[in-house]
Parts: sequence; C-alpha cells; structure tokens
Amino acid sequence: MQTRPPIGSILKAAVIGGLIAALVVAVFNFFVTEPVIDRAIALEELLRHVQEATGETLLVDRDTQRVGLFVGFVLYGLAWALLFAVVFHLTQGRFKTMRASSYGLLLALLMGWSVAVFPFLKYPANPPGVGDPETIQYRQILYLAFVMLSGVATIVSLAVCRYLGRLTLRRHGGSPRWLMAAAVYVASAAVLYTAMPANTDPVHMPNDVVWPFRLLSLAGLGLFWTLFAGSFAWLIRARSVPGARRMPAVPRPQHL
Amino acid sequence: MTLQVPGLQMAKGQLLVGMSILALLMLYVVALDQGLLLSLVQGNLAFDQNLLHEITHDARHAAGFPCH
Repeated sequence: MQTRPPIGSILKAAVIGGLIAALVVAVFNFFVTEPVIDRAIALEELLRHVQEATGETLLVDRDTQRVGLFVGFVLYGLAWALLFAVVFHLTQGRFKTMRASSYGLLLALLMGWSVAVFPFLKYPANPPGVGDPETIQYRQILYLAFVMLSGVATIVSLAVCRYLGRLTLRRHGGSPRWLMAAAVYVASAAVLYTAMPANTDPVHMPNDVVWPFRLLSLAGLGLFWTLFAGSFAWLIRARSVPGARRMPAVPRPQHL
Repeated sequence: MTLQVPGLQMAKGQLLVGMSILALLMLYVVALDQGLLLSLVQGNLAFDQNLLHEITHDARHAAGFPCH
C-alpha cells in the first residue's frame, strides 16, 4: 500500500527544496549573470546621459541590489514551494499508482515548465535598459495572464488524463491516456502561444548583451526547477516507501 | 479536521489558504510591485522610491519577470 505523506512533511520538504534551489540559483546568477547585468546597466546609463542629464540619485546602489538578488530568489523559492505544497497535497490522491516522490518530481517539473520556462519562450527575459517604463503595466498583465493560462492548460490536461483513466476501467498500460492528455496540452499550449499578444517594446541593447542574458536567465530557471523537483522528491521519498507510515497508536484488531 | 504542524495547530483548510496567500504575496513582491505595497506606509513617496522594485531588481530580471 502506498502511504500519502501528511501536509507537514510535504510543507517541510517543499520549503527546504525551495530554499536549496533558490540559494544555488542565486549564487549561479551572482557569479555568471551579474556581470551581464552590469554591462547592460553601464550601457543604459551611457544612453541616458546622451539623451538627458537626469538628476536622480540612486536610493538602492548596485551592491544592495546584488544582495537583493538573494533576497529575491529566496522569496521566489519560498513562494513556489508553498504553492507547490498546496497543489501537491490537494492532488496527490488523484494519481494513486505513483509514488509520492515520483509524483512530486513530475508535478514540480510540470509546474516549472508551466510557470517559468514556457512563459519565458513567449516573453523572454530582458536585461536592464530594454523595457520601456511606459509599458510596464501592460507587459506585467500579459506576463501574468500567460503564466495563469499556461497553468490552466497543464491542469486541464492532467484532469483529462485522470478522467480517461476513470473511463477505461480496464487498464491497458496507461500510455493511451497519457498520450491523449499530451495531445490536449500541446493543442492548448499552441493556441495560447499564438493568441497572446507579443511584447512590442523595441530592444535597443546590442545582441551580445541581450542574448547572453536571456540564455543565462533561462539556464537559471531550468536549474531552479530541476533542483527544486529533485530535492523535493529526495526529501519526500522516505514518506513514500510502501509501509513507511508510523505505527498507529492503537494496534488494529487482527482479522485471522 | 485539525492537524499538527510542529509548533502550530490549525484547521487544514486555514493552513492551505494561509500558505497560498503568503505565497502570492511573496510572488507579488518579487515579480510585480511598483511601489503599491509600501505606499500603504510611505504614501506617494513609495511610487517614486520604488524600494521593493529596486531591491528585488536583479532577481526580477534574472527570473524573467517584466521590469522597468
């Protein structure tokens, strides 16, 4: 019998996994991405000085922002860890044939794809100096809408998968329903990707700043979600081994 | 139904809702805020200073959120 880990264990594994992934990715970005951000900011200031001499003083200097990189990723890691724990807890009973660690790994990778990697493919990250401050609200709405709809597409596909599993009472390997769910996902993701308006901001930065930044940003996101998925699965595994449940306080009556 | 999380006892529904709200608030701070949250204490100054945006700036760019 597969035991389902209790919410306390899920929360603990998710938070620890989220913090591990967040810190590793922050260190990665600190050493690899920060130099690109610095180049972009230097270029941005050069452009701004040519256009107008703005008398603004910086409240938050670059060193503080580099510390903020860690603060930001810890917030990112904790936030997704909590949301993941909620979703995992609410849905783990729906896929009874999977171990908690396998389901955790799958769910975390699907979540990472849906809320980070797929949105990135539509709205790639930009270094400082690219975004037009006038359009920030519009771009935020687009991004947020894309993340939410992308999540909905994944959830609907998983629901289709489970619904088909119920319909066919006789099991035949399981692959047809996974294929059906994958087909539903690919179709809805393609509609979402083409229907959402593009980011229309012009990119004034040179390509040798923009593209390294984008690749490093994507690598960081991939690193975060694989590390999170792996750590969670590893931390929850002790709870998912058949028969790992603690001894009940009151012994059950023996039936023969 | 109540459950035990070390050091705290509450209904499971409350815990799940609480976790979700906390998570969304943290995501809002790291991904979206342009001064609104601190304007509750700082007033209009918050929109000029944009402290949360400035502090989470590098993570916001690196994580692919729209910025500037």
